[in-house]
Amino acid sequence: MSEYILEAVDVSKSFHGRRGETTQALTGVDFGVAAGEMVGLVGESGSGKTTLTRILLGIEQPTSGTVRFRGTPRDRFTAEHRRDYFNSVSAVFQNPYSSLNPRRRLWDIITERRSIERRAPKAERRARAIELLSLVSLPAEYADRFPHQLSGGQRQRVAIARGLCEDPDVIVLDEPMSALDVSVSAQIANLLLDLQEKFSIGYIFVAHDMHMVRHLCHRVAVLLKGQIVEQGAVADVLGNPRHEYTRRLVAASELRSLEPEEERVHP
Amino acid sequence: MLEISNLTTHYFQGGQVATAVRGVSLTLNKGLATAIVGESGSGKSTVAMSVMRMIRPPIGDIAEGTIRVNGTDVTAASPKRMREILRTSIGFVPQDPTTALDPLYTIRSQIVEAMPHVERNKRTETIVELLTSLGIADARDRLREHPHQFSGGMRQRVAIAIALAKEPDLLIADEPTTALDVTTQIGILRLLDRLRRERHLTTMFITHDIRVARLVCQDVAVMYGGVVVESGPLSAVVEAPSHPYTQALLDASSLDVGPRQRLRAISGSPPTLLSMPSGCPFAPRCPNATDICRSEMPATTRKADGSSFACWNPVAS
Ligand SMILES: Nc1ncnc2c1ncn2[C@@H]1O[C@H](COP(=O)(O)OP(=O)(O)O)[C@@H](O)[C@H]1O
Ligand SMILES: Nc1ncnc2c1ncn2[C@@H]1O[C@H](COP(=O)(O)OP(=O)(O)O)[C@@H](O)[C@H]1O
Ligand code: SF4
Ligand SMILES: [Mg+2]
Ligand SMILES: [Mg+2]
Repeated sequence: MSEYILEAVDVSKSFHGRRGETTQALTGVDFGVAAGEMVGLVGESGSGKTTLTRILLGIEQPTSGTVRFRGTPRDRFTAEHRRDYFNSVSAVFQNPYSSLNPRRRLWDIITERRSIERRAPKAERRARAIELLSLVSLPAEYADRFPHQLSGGQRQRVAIARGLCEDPDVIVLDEPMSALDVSVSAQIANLLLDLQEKFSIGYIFVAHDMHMVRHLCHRVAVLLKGQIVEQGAVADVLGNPRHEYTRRLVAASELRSLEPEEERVHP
Repeated sequence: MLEISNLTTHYFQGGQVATAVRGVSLTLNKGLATAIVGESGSGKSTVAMSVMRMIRPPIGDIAEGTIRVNGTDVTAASPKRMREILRTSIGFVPQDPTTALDPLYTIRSQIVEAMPHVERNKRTETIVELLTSLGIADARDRLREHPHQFSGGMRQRVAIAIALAKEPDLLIADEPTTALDVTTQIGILRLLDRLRRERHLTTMFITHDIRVARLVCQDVAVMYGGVVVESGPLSAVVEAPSHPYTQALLDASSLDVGPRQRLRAISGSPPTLLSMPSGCPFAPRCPNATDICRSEMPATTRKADGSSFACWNPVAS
């Protein structure tokens, strides 16, 4: 049995368009995350990163292959497994402006899961919201604010607080910093490290920028057109990329020079 | 080429006057790229929009200062003269190319609109040449396509084409690569750098990422809380910053702390317009702050390396 809490086993996914065309978004992907581990998932836009995370989150079904949670494949889940999976896997999305419901107060947003799953009373939810705000270093008074009253970085903290609500074992972070300033990204990176140390959460960190991946992740998988072309320890894969595509991503992320390695014609 | 002197710009918000840019002076040298760097809310876009006179009542207004584009003060220009300057001299590339592109019109018709000076029968050739030089393959076949048929990076190239079609003297690019992924970003940065060199294009390059600024710019102005806190030749400023905020920005983007170690983030967040501290705007977050910082705006000091900064207790060199 693998040590992964959450894993995709030989997952493929195709989408069927309106005009009968198919997009092969993923092909034979094996990818997983263990407790307390941070795994990077990198690739150019359109390479399939979001599709893979949506399949891991159960939002999307694979065309073939399976998702396993604590070793049990999804199609063999009991009601108990399903509840455990729902509570133990959460997500933080890229855009902190569109991912928070603008008409709800922060306490309500942050503890949404508790209302869906257990219809928890309001007093309990507010108390939990205040604990969670403190975990992400936001003042308790924010509980009654609305998302538009917050900066982008503060909103992303709220999204992380929401992700923490049910003490998850895995959080999927889909480009959580790409809409933020560099200085705010650094704060969020530190927060993610602190939370991981405290709760030994497994993170799946989706990014196109290798810079942060190299800093934060233990392992990394490189997606190209729906296939993983390299996967392994960050120091090996990014320090000594075997694939030309990985090399190009690393070079572009380093922002060392503008010298083109080769003049590319853009498709 | 572009000379901003003592610019102050207000926004009118619910009956209140909010000062977004305060006493900014900045000269863009001809044929060079000047970065305007700072966290979001620092006033970078407000400076750019002031140059293009896009801030007018009831949104806001330029309260003070002059902005000379090729010698003409745009703060005093008539609306007719201003339209003329915008049509011929200033190209603008926004962060989100979809805002520069009209989804209903073909790429060709949107670029044509920006090149009234080119003879009718030469327009297609000129556009194809322009798009090809910007890295769009099969440009001729794509002229009749609509913006949604292009990828994000390609749409940004089209937006750049529209900005360049008028052959401007000044290009203003406001976070032009922030919405793009890294490999696309590097392509656009290379392109902007090549255009500047080949066309002697004076460029204002707005970014929150000082690492990006280092790649494409020769000069820099660091903004915080609506003021320029440090400016000058980019290499001088980056190698020997005097302003604690410049130092903090450099620290926050550096990963030399070792894998998974805590980054040197800047604690707290920038002030909002309605909570602007008196004195130095950076004081609440500054490790060097002393009493005078909280009461008096620091004077500007010029350094031998050509840069200048506004700080009472500069970074020890
Ligand atoms: N719901 C969908 N319907 C059709 N095609 C889709 C859908 N979602 C994603 N795709 C396609 O799958 C591919 C991978 O997309 P995505 O997973 O979003 O990539 P990434 O997150 O790496 O940018 C792309 O070609 C995309 O257009
Ligand atoms: N239309 C507006 N009305 C009121 N305030 C505004 C408006 N646009 C920007 N601001 C405020 O002006 C300040 C500077 O904004 P901006 O120039 O956009 O900064 P930057 O481009 O550096 O992020 C911010 O505090 C912002 O909230
Ligand atoms: S003037 Fe004072 S508060 Fe402002 S940056 Fe300098 S030392 Fe810091
Ligand atoms: Mg995605
Ligand atoms: Mg801006």
